[in-house]
Amino acid sequence: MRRPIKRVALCIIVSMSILLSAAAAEALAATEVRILHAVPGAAKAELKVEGAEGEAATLPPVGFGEASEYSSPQAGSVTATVLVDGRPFAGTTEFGGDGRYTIVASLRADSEIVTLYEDGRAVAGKTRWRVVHAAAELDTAELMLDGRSLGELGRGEEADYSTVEPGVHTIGARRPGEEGALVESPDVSLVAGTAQTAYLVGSGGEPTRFTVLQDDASAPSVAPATGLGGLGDDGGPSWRAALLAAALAGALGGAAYAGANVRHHRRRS
Amino acid sequence: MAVVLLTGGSAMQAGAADGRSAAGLARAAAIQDAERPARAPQRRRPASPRWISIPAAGVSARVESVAARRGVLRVPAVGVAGWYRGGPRPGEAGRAVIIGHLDTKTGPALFARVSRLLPGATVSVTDARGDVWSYDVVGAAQVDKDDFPAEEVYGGSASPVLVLITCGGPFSEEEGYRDNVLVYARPV
Repeated sequence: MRRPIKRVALCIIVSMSILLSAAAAEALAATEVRILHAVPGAAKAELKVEGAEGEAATLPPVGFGEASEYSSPQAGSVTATVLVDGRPFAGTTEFGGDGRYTIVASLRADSEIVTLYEDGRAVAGKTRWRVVHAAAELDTAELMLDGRSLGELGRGEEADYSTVEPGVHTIGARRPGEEGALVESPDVSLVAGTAQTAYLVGSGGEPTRFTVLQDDASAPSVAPATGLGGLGDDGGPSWRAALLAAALAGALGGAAYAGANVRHHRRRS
Repeated sequence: MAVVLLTGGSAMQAGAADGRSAAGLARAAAIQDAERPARAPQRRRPASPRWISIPAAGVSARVESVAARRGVLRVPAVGVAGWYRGGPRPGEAGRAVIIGHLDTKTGPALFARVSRLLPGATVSVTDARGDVWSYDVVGAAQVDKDDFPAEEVYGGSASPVLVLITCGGPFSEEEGYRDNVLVYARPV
């Protein structure tokens, strides 16, 4: 009699595992993408996102040095088309898998360039950041954090994420071998529990600058349960009811005492 | 279902025409007001918070750090406030989150009066070095726990923001409280 029970239990466990892993895979396999406009001289850039099942969305246009919000999550592979000032820019990009991505539209010697960067995840309590070089007319940039050199990046390249002390930092860039900074942003907040990217954009008539975007934030996803019901309308003996009962008991006690006093005085008189 | 408690105002008017919910607008207004820079950000990193004081809500209590496990934020002991240690510390850029109990099984708890805070109420957090970080309440919203806006609570912010969380709305034995109350504050 024990074996069939064991088999049934095993079947239930296996089925539950399959269901749970399928649900987990579905939950994980979501792709989100946003666009950063780094094309000097163009008024606006937008991103058309098409999912594997044919659903399409166009993210609202952004100006130079600005980024859109992430698109809503898409399952499977995603095809993205950049539109700059309303016309297709540098063909389409197809990618997929779980994760967040940023598409940067930029120029290189007048060639239209679309580069896909995979964005990192936040780690609770850590401040992760990286730099991406997307400035159109600067071959190589030496990057600085609080006056300290972080090394050089070629145009289109990304640095690995690194961890820094959260707080306000100064980030800068200069041409290799030059003393003066090409750009210096003195009040960049690098926030605990987030992953952020500083994109170096500009040139071609646009001043070189950093656009700092948040890639992810570490966040509990479930609402906290900070109540046990003592004040609730369906929560057993309410404290208000208890107070009312105490007040009523006090009043009754007082009345009884007063009544007894009156009777006592009458008897004596 | 979500209920607006109080709000900054301008965002509410601006967004009413585009069909966003009143609660969403209230949150947006509160967040917008909270993130408006009030002073130059600090360069020295604050220490972990140790004490919270909200005179208008009768709160004066120890703060312990709480972590999240598998997406669920652990709640502090009754009578103690909990700071989410995965995010920013009070006083530094970003949204620092402090939670507290609305009630116990028999009566009010530490954050029982937090949902009634009005704009301008002061919240002071003392860190482990003894530095005090003072905030002004700018707005609040009541949100359905089933539709908890994690990004608006824990998401990044370039300026320091304090978010207080407790429970609210109707209570049932099976589900507990239906809602959370979010109170947003910005540095004084």
